[in-house]
Amino acid sequence: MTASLQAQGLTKRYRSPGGGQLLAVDSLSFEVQPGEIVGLLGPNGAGKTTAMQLALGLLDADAGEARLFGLNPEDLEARRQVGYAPDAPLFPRALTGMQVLKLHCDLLGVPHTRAEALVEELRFGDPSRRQTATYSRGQQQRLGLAQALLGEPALLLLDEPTAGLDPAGVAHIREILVAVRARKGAVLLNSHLLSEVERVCDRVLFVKGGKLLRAHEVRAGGKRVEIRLANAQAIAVDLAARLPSASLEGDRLRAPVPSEAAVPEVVRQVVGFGGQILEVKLSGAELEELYLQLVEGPAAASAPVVEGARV
Amino acid sequence: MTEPTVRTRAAGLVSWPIARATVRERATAPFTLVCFVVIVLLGFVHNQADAWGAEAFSNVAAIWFFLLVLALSAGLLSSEVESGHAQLVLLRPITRASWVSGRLVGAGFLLCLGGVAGWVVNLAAAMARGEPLEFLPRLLVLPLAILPALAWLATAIALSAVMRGFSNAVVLLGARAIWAVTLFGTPVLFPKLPVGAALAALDPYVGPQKLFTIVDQVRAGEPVIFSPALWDLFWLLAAWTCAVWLFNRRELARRRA
Repeated sequence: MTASLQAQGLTKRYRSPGGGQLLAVDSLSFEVQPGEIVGLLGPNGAGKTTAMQLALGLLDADAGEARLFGLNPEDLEARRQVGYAPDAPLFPRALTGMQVLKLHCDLLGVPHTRAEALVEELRFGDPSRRQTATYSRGQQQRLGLAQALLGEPALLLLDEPTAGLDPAGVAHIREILVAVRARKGAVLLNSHLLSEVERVCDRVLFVKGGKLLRAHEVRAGGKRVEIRLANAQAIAVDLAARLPSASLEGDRLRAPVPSEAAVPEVVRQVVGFGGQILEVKLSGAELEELYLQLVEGPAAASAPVVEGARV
Repeated sequence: MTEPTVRTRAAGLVSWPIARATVRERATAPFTLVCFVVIVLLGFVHNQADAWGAEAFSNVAAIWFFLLVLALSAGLLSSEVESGHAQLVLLRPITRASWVSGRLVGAGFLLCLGGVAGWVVNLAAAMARGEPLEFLPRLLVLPLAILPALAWLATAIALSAVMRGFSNAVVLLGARAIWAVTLFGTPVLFPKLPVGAALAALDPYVGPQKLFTIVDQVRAGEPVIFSPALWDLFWLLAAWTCAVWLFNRRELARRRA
């Protein structure tokens, strides 16, 4: 199957007026397959936005290349299938949001009714009738997302789509991403919201200093169940013997599970050897821990680059 | 992915969606509206004894028509690049050339609209005053006023590919001022140098030419010399090409930076 997005050895150096160079992206290789959501995680200045722009052909790489559906990113056929919502997008100030969307409809060759339906879906009906000069950051963000979704793209690249959005907006974006995946669309998501990344992404790319530190499969092994117990200490020995992969911290038992479906079995086992359960919570894998360890922690400096990782 | 349900013309020489959006965007700019209103009001003014329509584009009206050119071209390309919207649009199935051409055609349409508005008002005012109407000269005035204005507009838009706001107007006016000083100052400063005639011969080719001489020739029944109009057409196309080339250079430089 042809990857929706394939980046091979992407390298980008920014030149400063003084003659210096900043290595923004360093030999970055990854793929995004149809029907999956891939997250880009890293601190500010890690090269995430640059990587996206290189993948789209908005910037020229010093080395390496990106392919969209096996085509050059400049290919008009490839562009027809791509939606991109940049961080902090700006639009012509004299146009209304709807006029901007209709312009993009015309460029894509899709009917204007698509724009009208989309603004309703994004709960953007009233602001879309105003000039974009009057928009707040969150409204600009929604308009940017709407224009990215107009052509029901096969590949969606979102750069900090939740920045400036209210909680309802964040939740709605999550629903949109899941819907894109359901129709076999591919998504590359750049976000600082670990919880959101954890909830929607199939895989996560940890990036720092322009390098790929690690590709983490969220769905494959990334969930864990957290059980709060009334009698944790009383059954601690049993827990250690029967659930060796679990760990007990105070009154909380944490056990890795492959998926949501495995949670009832873990609960049955705990009840089976006398555990008095107060609360059960399914959370993502140790994404935050991984992030802190890989990106912020001492391991970051020495972490190896995963060459050619499929992400 | 949604299949296109209407034929997209975006990949052609001119992007018509971009042209339409440019019209919407620029038509509501305050300075453009002021220029429009003044041009229409000046169309009422009777300021020439032998009025045959040129008055709608002469003297003060000519200045405002040129101001409309500057208003329409200011930041026409650079503002879109700097806001990042140009990059979003260029991710669509559209070429850089058709985007630039769409912007230029949209601005050109508004310029034509301003010209037609002034011309129609002038015609109506002349009829109301009961003046004798010379239909052929009046008909000729409109395209002969608009063609050089379009050539100037294309020049100013080409400059806007690399200059923000009204700085393209400053450069354009500065270049004309430098040429005027050269044209009139050189023979005075260096009277012994035989450059005066050469500079005067060169002068019509330093920019688009005024074309109302063609109307004079028609009215006088003389043979019509079309070369000034052809020169303006050439200038328009050359400036258009330059606009595409400059924008390409800027965009490629940005991508490589």
